Amino acid sequence: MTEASQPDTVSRKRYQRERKAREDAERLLEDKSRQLFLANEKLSSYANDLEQQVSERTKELSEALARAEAAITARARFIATMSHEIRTPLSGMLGIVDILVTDEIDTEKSQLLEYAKASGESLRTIVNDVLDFSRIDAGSMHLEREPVDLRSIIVGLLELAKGQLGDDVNRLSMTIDTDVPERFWGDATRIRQVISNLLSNAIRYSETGPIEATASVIKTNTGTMRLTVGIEDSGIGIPEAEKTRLFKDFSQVQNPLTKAAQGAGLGLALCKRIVEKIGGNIHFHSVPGQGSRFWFEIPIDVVGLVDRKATKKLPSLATSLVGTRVLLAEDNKINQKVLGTFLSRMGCIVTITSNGQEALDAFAVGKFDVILMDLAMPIMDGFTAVKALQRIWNIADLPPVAFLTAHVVQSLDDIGEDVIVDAYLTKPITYNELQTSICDLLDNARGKDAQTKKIWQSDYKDGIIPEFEDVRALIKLISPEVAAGIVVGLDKATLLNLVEDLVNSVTEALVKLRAYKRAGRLDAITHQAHALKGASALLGFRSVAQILSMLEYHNEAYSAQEFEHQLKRLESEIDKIRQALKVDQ
Amino acid sequence: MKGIIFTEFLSLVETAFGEDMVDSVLDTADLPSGGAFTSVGNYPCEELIEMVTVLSNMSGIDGEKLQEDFGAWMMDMFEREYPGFFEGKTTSFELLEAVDREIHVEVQKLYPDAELPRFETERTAPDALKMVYKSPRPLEHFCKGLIRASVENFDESASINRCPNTSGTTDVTFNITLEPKAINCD
Ligand code: HEM
Repeated sequence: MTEASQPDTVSRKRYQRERKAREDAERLLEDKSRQLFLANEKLSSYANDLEQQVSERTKELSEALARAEAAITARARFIATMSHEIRTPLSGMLGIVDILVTDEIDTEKSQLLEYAKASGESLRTIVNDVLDFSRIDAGSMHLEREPVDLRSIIVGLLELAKGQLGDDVNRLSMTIDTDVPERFWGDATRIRQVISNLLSNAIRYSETGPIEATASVIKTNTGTMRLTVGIEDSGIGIPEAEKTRLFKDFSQVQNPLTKAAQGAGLGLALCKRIVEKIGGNIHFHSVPGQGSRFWFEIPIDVVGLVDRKATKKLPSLATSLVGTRVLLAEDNKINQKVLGTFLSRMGCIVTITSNGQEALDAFAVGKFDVILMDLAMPIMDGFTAVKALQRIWNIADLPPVAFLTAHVVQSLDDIGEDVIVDAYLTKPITYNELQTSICDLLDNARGKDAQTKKIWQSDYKDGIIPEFEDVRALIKLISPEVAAGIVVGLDKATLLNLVEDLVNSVTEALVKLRAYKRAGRLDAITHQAHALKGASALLGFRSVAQILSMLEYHNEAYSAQEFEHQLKRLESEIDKIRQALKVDQ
Repeated sequence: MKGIIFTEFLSLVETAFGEDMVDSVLDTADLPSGGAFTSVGNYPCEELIEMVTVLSNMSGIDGEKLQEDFGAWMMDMFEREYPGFFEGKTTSFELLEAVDREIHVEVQKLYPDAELPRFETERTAPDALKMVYKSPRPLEHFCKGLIRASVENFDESASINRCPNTSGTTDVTFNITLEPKAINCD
């Protein structure tokens, strides 16, 4: 049995050891598997964390993006609001300065006023550009689809530019291919803005030499038309280094040769944005010292149907506004005063109302030649008023309507299709702009009104306007076209007042002009002559205006004797008027 | 040190001397672990040395000889259990050179708590390899057994000489010189 018992004891020891080893192993394995489990858990929590982090990051990012976008929109809106807020008071300011400029006789003061006017105008350009930029940024620049008459735009711009050029207006010329359609669909305001920008750059950067506006079209093989409009100058050109940043925002070609460059340098950048928005391109070619040519090409769409504006002719500044009867609806008192004075100065007869309702009440067919309607007014806004007018009256019987707005109208949808509008005038409105616009409006409407005008004219010729019978001597001195308007549009007392004013002003000016000549203050002479030239022309004293124009443009070239000779002529012309006044009274 | 070394040592004892010797060694030796070794555990190297000493006393066989034989035993085990490490090796030198460069590197990855020696190898002649064993553990004879088995398993024959240590460190240098294989007369 020893054989059996021995293995027993051995196996017991071994059994205990083996059992301990197994327990150890099991414990170790248990630990290992727990470690594995924990490691696994950690891993999957990492994975979860990662997933969560990724989704958190994504959320953060999209929130940040949304915030950034909101900030951009908010900024654009802020800038738009700010610019808008600036425009309204600026409008009032510029208007008042404009009035002061024409009234001021003291040369030093009027020089200062001219500076104020120039600063104000360049501020206005900047504000407008910034506003346009912010609008494009905010994606809220909407393009109009209206018939565009490129020729009239260019002619109008060249007319305005003449004012900037001073003595050599002959530098301006235009060549518009006959292929360029009479009218095409587009946004006239924007196209005008781009051309105007290019034109004023050309003027700013070339002191002498011709400036030419050109336009041509090409038909693409897809049958669409592309219009190319170019402005070429022979100025200082653009230095190589400037070329790359020409269309960039807030950059400006350094230009020591000419007067301090005005504006914030946003002009070309804005042109580029606008042209691109229209679906076109803008380019330039420039040789330093020889000149630059800027051109843009845009797709156009010819206007097929003849509509109400079909008879439109080129605007002409020669159109006399004297006697034009204007219904003005404008709630802002300063604007009332400014526009009212402007209009009076143009010889218009103004009826001022403070809101749409008053304008409606004041209106009657045949009573007005033009309606100027502010958009935002209390009680009844401009749109509503015009809509009402067009509902109540036969549209053919209504005079042309121009809306006055403090901001560029964004889209026709804002108005409603059933309102027919002839023009938008964006405040601040300068004297010249107002004059040009009213001329335009009248020219457009002339087809319609020609008959009426003719009747007035023949009435005058037949000498059957008794009111002016006793001022015949004076009327004889006034050029016939102007007189035709005056006898219809002004009453006798107003006419006499205006003429007396003019005679007094010129008499005072004569003293000053002599003093300026002695002191060699040629600028002051130019300025003084210019100020009086407009008023004389307005009242139809052609030879007075002519002499003043000579003094304005050529006084530098005059010797003391020649100058004195001109003044003598002026004196005698004024004398004639004075005599006529005396005779008549 | 990995438990597999201990369990393998006990199976060598069992194979060579029988189960009772295993029990006796374990009973006699002073083993903090109680001798309950498992291949998945880790035990102090001293317990291996202690068991070798006890076995030497009991069997009358030299301890160094026992260590060397255990090395050879382990080599056979490695060949059986880790054939991947031997793939592509055509000579014992290639294998020995690969221990430090590849094999132990992979071992360390498999068992991050493994305590492995470092080796420097140099072919001093086409048929001679110098191999320096660097380890804080006194297992040079175990190492010699591993080398011997490596040579034998490639059906080669070599003299393995342990050079006298002059460096003052625990490093041990082996000079392995291949010998033409003795051809037996039948
Ligand atoms: C496929 C081949 C091999 C494998 C898988 C392998 C694996 C191992 C493992 C797992 C240990 C135990 C480490 C510890 O428990 O902490 C070890 C130790 C050791 N190995 Fe290897 N080995 C291999 C080949 C070799 C060869 C060829 C040599 C000899 C040149 C060698 C020399 C040693 C030595 C001396 C130790 C003991 C630890 C020390 O002294 O620090 N091994 N090896």
